[in-house]
Order: sequence, then structure tokens, then C-alpha cells
Amino acid sequence: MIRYFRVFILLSYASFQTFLASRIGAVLFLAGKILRFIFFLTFLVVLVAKTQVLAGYNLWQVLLFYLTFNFIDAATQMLFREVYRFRQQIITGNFDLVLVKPVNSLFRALFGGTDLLDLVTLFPFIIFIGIAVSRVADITFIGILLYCLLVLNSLFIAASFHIMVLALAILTTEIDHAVMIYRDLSTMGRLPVDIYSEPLRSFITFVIPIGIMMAFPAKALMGVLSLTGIFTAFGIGITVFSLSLFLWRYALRYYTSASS
Amino acid sequence: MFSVKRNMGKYLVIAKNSLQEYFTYRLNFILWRVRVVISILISFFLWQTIFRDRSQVFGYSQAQMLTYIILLTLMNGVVLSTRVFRVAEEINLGKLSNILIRPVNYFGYTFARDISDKGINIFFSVIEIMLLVLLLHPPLIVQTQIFFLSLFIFFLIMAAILYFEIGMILSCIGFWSRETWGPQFIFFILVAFLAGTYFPLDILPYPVYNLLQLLPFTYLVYFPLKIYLGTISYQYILRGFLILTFWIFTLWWVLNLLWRKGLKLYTSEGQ
Repeated sequence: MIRYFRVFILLSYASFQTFLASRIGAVLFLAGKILRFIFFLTFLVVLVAKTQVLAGYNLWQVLLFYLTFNFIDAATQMLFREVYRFRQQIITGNFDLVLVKPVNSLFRALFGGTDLLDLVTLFPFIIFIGIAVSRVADITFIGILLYCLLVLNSLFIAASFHIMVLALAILTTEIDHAVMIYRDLSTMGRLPVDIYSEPLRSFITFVIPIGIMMAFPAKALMGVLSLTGIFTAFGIGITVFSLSLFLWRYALRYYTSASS
Repeated sequence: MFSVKRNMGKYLVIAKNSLQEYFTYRLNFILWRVRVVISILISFFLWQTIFRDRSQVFGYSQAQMLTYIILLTLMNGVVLSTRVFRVAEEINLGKLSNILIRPVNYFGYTFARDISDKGINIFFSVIEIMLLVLLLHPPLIVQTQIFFLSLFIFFLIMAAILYFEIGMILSCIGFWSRETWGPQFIFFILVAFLAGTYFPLDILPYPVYNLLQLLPFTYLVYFPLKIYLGTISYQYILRGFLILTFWIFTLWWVLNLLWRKGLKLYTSEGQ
């Protein structure tokens, strides 16, 4: 475990150095993300200030959904950045170089390019979430604990999606849009899933399951998530994660080392 | 006459070739359209929820707002779909040289590629609109006044020209820097919000909305859609036309200036 942590630090440091090589681009990219966050936040404030409620939630509750989405999204992008570069390793055959190293190949493919620059946005999100939580009524200690556990569960589901994308890259060599489709679908969770009509709501909650990832933590914190909902969330988390590991192991058998 | 016809023919061939590229990378294109539809669906359901227990929000009826959101698919096809941002990559990789030595005008060449891009995107956006209408049954406004429809088409073309110019100007950064993706990313974010692709701009506080009217972004999406809805005064249309014309001429001048200066620096590096 400690050995892998050391490898993670080493890889993240190397990744950070590559960002320093294109400083202006990296800063502009970060600025764009911050700008996007601010723009949508402004829109939500203007909108919910006018309507008072959105799908039964008040302004601070809606903001809590939005901030939770942003935290999970930013953490996912920060941790699994290497996935976006994985296709290149497959089509060039460079993945051979990963396989021969004494490090778990999945670990390397997932965490090989952690984008430390995204940490800049993560800390403000935590502060904003704290502010939003303090403004939402009837918050309990159990609620906060469940919130943290469900956010962790969301990160596991996000990791599972990324593992599946890696497996797809080996099987089909086409992942660029698969990642982007995942990201677009996940943006459906930046608002409470209650705004979507059935059967779309059930589909994005249980099938994809964006709702469980993005909405359930905030719902648990507000005390509007049933016990069944909580168990379902963890059950789906464990199932999706196990499925992704199975798919990865299956895909590895079909790696042909083409072009190497 | 023969010369004009021959010149047009060249650009037609470029547009055809560009169209064929889409059929080579079909999956890419289909997934891109899926992404556009997802973005429209998010806005659609958001506004549908808002109108569930009220008939008017920010001065819009449900039919007006949902028409605005559904027509964004078409706006994406006509105005925002472009391949002009590839120019930066062509400059950086030295690929520009391959085109410069051909007997074609580079802007015309890029515009011809854009036309095929827009053509195929418009075709799919019309199908998507029909599917969305069939599946979601939204209350919609069908503009029947020829005056507003003609103006809508006119301003769509103007918006497409404006977007082409902005895209080319941003791509010109490639002459001076390899880091063209950062400014383009910021630009996409600005367009997404300041052009009105998430919501009509007049729901914003009045001072912000007033300021936005002076910027070119407003005229890419929001302004043509307001004309389609017919909820706009003649005075406002005239004012919009003048501002848009100002931006088109100014940006054309800036683009030509940057292009000339950039070409002097261009070394065809990478070829």
C-alpha cells in the first residue's frame, strides 16, 4: 500500500512537470473550468431566486446538489486524467512498457497522470459545500457521515466507469467519445435528478447510475433519502466496481500489442 | 462567367471531400450528435420543471421557452458547428503549407469545409428536433410570419459568418504559439453561456444583459432565436443589425491583419 502511494506521488509529480512545460495552456484550461463553474452558479442563483424552488428544493439545497456534482466531477478528472491518454498507448503498443513494470497495470492506467492542478478547484469546492451545508436546515451528524460515505461511493462508481472505458479501449481502440459521453451524461447530475421525467429519471438513477453518484449524497445529507436508497447506492457501487474489474481482466486477455 | 463557375466548382469539391470524411468517421459524428442532444435534454427538463407550477417565468411562456431550447439544436448545426478550429492545428503542424500551395483561397477553402460540416449537422439536427417533438410533446411556437422567418434566416447566416471569423482569429494564435487549445477552451465556455445556449440572455439582470448586447456572442444564438419567437421590437432588431454588422466588419479587418502578419512568421515547422 505504502509502495503504491509512493508510486502515485512519483507519477503525479512527473505529470505535474509536463503541465509546467505548457504553463499558459494549463492556466487557461483551469481558468476556463472556473469560469464555467461561476457562469452556471450565477444562472442557478438568478433562476432559483426568481422561482424560489426547483423540483421542491430551495436555493441552498439546489446549490448543494450543484457543488457536490462539481466536487465529484473535479476529483474524478483530477485522479483519472491518464484514462484520456490510454488509447494512444494501445494503438502504439506502448502499453507493453506498462505491463512489464512491477506495478499493477490497472493502477498505472488509472492514476498515471493525476492532474494536481485540479486541486486548486477542489479545496474551494469543499469550503463552498461547507457553507451550503450550514445554510440547509435539519442537518444531522448521521447525515454528514452518510454524505461523506456516499461521495466516496460515487468516486468508486466513477472509477468503475473509467476502468470500463480502459477495457473498451483495449477491446475496440475507440474511447475518446466514450469518455466524453460519460462526462456529458454525468452533467445531468449537476441539478437534482427530480427535474427529469420518468422513465428518464429511473434510467439515469439506477441504470447509468448518475443519480446515485451525484444526487444521492446531497439527498442523504438533507435526510430525504430512504434506507433502501442508501443500501441500493452502496449495492450498485459494489456491483459496478466488481463488474468493471471483471471487464478489465477480460479485456487484458485480448490485448494484442499491435504496432509495438 | 466560366471562371466564376470553375472557381465555385473547386470549393464544391472541397465541401464534398470534407463531407466524405464524416462517412469515414461515422461513430465519431454520431457520438457528437448524442452529446448535443444530451445538453438540450438537460435544459429542456430543467425548464419543463420550472413551468410545472407557473405559466410565466422571466416574461417567457412555457411554449416560448421550450421552443427556444429545442431550436438550440438547429442553432448548433447552423452556427456553432464548424471545423475552423482545425486551422490552428494545421498551422502548428505545418500542414497549412499543403493548402497554401494550391490554387485556392485559404479562407474560401476553410469556409467550404465549414459548409459541408454545417450541412450534415443541420440535416441531423432537423431529424433530432422531429424526434424530440414526437417523444416529448412540448408546446411549441411555429413562426408563420414571413417577415420574422426571413429575418431569422438572414441573422442565422450573419451569425455563422461571425462565428467563422472568431474561430479563424482564435486559430491565428497558432502562428505565435503552440498553446492554442487553452484560448479555444475559454472561448467555448464563453460562447456556451454568453451566446445564450443555456438560457435566453434577457433573464439576466438588466445591466448585465445591456452589456452583453454590445458583445458579439449575443448575436450568435440568442438574437436569431428572439427574432424567430417574434418577441422583439423593430427598433431592437435594427440596433442588433448595426452592432452585428460592426462586429463582422471589424473582425474581418482584424482577421486579415492577423493572417498577413502570421503568414510572415509561418515557417512550415513540422513538415
